[in-house]
Amino acid sequence: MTTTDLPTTAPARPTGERVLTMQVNGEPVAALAEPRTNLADFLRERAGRTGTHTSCHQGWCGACTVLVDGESARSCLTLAVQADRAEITTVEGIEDPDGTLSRFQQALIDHTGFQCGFCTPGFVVLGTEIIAEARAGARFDRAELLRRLSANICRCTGYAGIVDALESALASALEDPDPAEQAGRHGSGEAGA
Amino acid sequence: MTVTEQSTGGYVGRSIPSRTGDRFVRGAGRYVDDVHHNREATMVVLRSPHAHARIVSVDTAAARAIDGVYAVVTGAELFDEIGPQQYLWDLPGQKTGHGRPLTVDKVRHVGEPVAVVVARDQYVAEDARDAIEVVYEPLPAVTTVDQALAPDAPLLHEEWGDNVQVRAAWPVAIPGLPEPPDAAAALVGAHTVVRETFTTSRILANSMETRGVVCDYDPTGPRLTIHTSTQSPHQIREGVAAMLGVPENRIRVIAPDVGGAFGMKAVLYPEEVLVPYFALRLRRPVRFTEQRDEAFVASTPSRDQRMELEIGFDADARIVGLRARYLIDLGSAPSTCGAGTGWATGALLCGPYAVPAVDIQATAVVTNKTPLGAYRGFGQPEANFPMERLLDLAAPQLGLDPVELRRRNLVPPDAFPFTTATGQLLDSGDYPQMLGMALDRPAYAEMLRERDQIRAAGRPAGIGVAFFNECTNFGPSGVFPLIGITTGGWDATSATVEPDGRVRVVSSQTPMGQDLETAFAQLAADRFGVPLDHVTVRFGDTDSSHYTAYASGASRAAGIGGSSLILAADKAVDKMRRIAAHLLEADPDDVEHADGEFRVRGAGATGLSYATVAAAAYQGGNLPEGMEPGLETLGAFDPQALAFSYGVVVALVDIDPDTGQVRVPRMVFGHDCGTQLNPRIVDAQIVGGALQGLGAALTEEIVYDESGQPGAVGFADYLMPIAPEIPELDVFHTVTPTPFALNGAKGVGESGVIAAPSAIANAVQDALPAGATPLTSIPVLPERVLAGLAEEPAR
Amino acid sequence: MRPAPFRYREPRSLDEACAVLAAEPGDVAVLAGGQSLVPQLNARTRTPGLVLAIGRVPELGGVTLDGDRLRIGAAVTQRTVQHDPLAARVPVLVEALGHVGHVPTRNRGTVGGSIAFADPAAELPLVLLALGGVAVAHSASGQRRIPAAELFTGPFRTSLRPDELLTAVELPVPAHPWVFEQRHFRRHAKVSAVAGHGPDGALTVAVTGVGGTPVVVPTPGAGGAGDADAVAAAATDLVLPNGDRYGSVAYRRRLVAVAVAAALSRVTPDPTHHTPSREEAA
Repeated sequence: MTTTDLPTTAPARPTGERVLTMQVNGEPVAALAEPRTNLADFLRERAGRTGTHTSCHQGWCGACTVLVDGESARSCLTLAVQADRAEITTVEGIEDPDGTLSRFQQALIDHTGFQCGFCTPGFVVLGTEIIAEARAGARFDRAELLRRLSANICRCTGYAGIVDALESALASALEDPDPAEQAGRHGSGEAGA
Repeated sequence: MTVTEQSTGGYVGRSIPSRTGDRFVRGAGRYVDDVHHNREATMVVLRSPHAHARIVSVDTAAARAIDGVYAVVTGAELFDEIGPQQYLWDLPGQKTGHGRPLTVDKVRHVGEPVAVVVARDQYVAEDARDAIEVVYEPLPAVTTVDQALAPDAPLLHEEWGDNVQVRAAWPVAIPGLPEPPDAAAALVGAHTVVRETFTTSRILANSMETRGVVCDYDPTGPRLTIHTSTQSPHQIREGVAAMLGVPENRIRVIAPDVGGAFGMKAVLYPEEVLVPYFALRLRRPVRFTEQRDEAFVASTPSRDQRMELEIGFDADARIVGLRARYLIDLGSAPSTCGAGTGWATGALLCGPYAVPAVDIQATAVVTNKTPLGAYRGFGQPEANFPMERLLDLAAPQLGLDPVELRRRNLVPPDAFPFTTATGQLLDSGDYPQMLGMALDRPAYAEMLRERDQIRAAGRPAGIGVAFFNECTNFGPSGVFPLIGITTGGWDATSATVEPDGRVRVVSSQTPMGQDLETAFAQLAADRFGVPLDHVTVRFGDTDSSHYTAYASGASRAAGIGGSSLILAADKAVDKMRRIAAHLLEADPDDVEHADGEFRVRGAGATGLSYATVAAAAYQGGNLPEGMEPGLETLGAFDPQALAFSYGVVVALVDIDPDTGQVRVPRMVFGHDCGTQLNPRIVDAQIVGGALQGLGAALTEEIVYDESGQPGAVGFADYLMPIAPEIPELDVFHTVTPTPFALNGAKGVGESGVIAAPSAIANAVQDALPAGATPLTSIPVLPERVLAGLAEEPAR
Repeated sequence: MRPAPFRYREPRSLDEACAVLAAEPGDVAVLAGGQSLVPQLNARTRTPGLVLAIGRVPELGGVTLDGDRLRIGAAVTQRTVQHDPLAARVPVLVEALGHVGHVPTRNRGTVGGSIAFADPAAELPLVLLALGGVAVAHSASGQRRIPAAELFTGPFRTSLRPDELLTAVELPVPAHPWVFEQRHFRRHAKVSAVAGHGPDGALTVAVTGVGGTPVVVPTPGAGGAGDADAVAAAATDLVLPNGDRYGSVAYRRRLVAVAVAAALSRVTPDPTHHTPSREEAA
């Protein structure tokens, strides 16, 4: 969690707007938002991180997936005010500070795990969480990965490149642990529905 | 995976990694909704909740009173402000709707635009939209083609006198040519005749990025800069200019990264005119982002045909004649695409088969649904499904294996170029070889084994095959007027050698996921003879890319766009050769161009680099007599004829007998698109397209209820394929270059979706008890499968 | 697709939350993880005057074991419960959680929220009913314990009063392994079955996705090997005629019979034995 000097509940303005503060990809962001503003709009329009995309606003497609305090979340189904004082990682925050791509990002390029690129940020974040779980000890077979990837929709690729990329990034991450990628906190894999 | 070695060298033909990946995986892609301007306002559209109703009154007072609302406008108020939209496909005899972005007196489908709000942001604009009070007087809805054609049917467009938008028929008799053969006589004389009625459901492209428009306003003139998610920037500019009465040179249209399109973004939409209209009216930037629930009623769906198909065979199982009567459910009014997809179905119905005589009649009717438009395949999946299903139904009657029946009727390799009975020229190919190769694949043997294992485990399993060809490299311009297309069919590329010798190519094509950025860089690098990283490729801006009419649709980028790139590059190289000759004091014919240098042939001396020649070109003081300075060239290519890609799909299905749910564990996909600029991209197009085809076969549809309400307005009810549904896909290729493109390339963008549904449906039928009632419609839903499984096997 | 305006309160104690509910006359929406509510807000199918966010109320956290009862605070996320060592004492709950949405929605969605939302096809209300759990509610006038059988009154309806807040759910830790089975077609016609033996050895089967609420299937005297068909048949009789395009009544009946049969094939009165589901086995 971030530390700021703001009071626990910033005084509400007549419009209901209030100042929200977040750490977005390690940088502090403070901006006014109405309570109804969703996290995706806050990140895209207040924090200037347009890499997070929205496509359905119903939680079905996963294009808007970000990490909130290290856990994946639909930013279209999260009110920005719910994420007040949280640490947010968007797709722009997955690469190393020096611009080196994560293994999964690089694997997506190597396996053509994208075409139009619109759903890609959501898959990058989704896969990053899975790899973090694997580093913490979870094990995934291909069927399990496909179930996990069913959280998001891609219309272009037929998913083949995405799952191939994830399998390859997982294999290499387990061979050569790199603490920088240990973002998630959960310790075991699970079957999706 | 390439079976035949490609003759081209260098970069073309290699699986170079995508240039777009670096920005896409970092979230650095730039899509329309990422573009913002100071003082921008947001537009939201109020859409009809009724399928068919008269508008009694629209009260916008409450909406206008909301803080942060800048404009609330009705269709009646805009009628004289914005002119009607024109057709891209203007088939002879096509009737038209009002063509205005907002309707005026009545609504004809759920989702038809009724009024518009422009406000501070999306939130406030939606508040105002919800505060508009519209009184509707509901009218009876026409929701099926049969209702539309009933004698006492309510009319959507009273002035038409009926609900028929256009009819078309084949063969087309051409004066001076012999009468086409008589299909009726051929069918009467046939040894065996099979007939069945087939339907393909209304489905939606559903690009993950919805449509969006952002228009910046510049008081100079004024000028407009429109970012829009489109496949056709120049076409949008033409449409906006015509409808708003603004000269084209004051409008700049930019298609930034396009988050999927699939044909659905090929034509002009109302919002692409409304946004610049309000930018002009409010003298400030205006934006629109289509919301997903709107996309289901405002973006054009496709397919939606019902065809009665009849084929006659001789005693050797060779096709002697074909008769088809089909209906196209166009929705409420023709989109810019008109009845184009329906026309393509008839023109391409014979597909890869030698059919000597046809009698095809198409009728496009209007119903109270969202207007039909283009989607990957454009009429061809609608043709392939009836044809490939009927061949499977005919095979047992003819005592033949379905593969053998196809083999006997495919156009033979020595018959190319082959003119079909509907007048299409098939350019090249070896169809029977492709069919044979599919069955020789180890993956096919694996498929047979797996089918037997599934059956041994007590589950129904089956294998289906379907063949197809795909009409690509859409042109030529001389033919377009004959088929009702109002534009040209050529394409353009400009090539610039910059002062430092690096190459910048600007294509008039628009990428939307097909990675033209990489493929065209390969093509340019080879043609210029420079390293790949010396080339940049730019797109999608009417201020920098040359005019093109048809832009990126109909699988024409590699062949037509690519050929224009070759022309532009060759002109630039030729000019550089002449400059180099001048500098070297040699005859231009003696100067050779190799390894990024120009040198005198056989002289052995070091040549002149691109940078040296370019510097001279831009300095301008030491050029050949009469030569203009600079190094920018234009290539424009108009193909002589279409190019037909082709392929075969074999699918294995595994059915859960408890739930009727179908899994497709394996597919074999053979394909030929001529020269492959980048095999990685070709495979990606096939794999992604095949999964869209799987969705069309098993899950996707938009069904309207009797009141005209759509059954899907979100992903909850529109079942697109998800990751666990992907098959093991074995893709193989042959390479038969087309003679009608300079690089031999045919298109591949639509190939994946054309025959995959047919192969899967054939496989499901194969899994059902012998003699089970034929599957005649897609998607094949679980309950239909259960009904089939419950049928007693035929004796 | 953005919410209509609403007032927003984010109480820091249970008393404060109850006071807000008691004082608020209009439509209040309680926001926990928001994975069911926010889609409705975005679509404007729900336009509450006030959104009461309970995510920062400390009394609503925590998973605890009190004797043989597992208590889950209303604001605890589904994913947290899925990985909680105490919750592992109720394996059928963990199994059911694996079917709820996806990891990104489970990371934010709460067990309490899913139960209070009372979706007639949802997994967690079924588990609560089948195990005979209790919903704990608080209001300004005190605490009320509502047995699951009295909680679900209809589709998306519960017996919680407008001034009451669901604060926890309690599940008995079963002595024998219970099982969860689900069948659906891309989440349409989604039916689920839970089966297991109570402390007295009696078989309980409950299903959801059949009507307005989860229901216990009548199993008179069941227990013999040949009774599975009778139980499955009894379950199919519970399907109410409200089908959709991908899940007609007939199809739902078929799937509920399949789910019940699958559950019964796995359930055993032997506490040491757990038969994996077909997903686990795959």
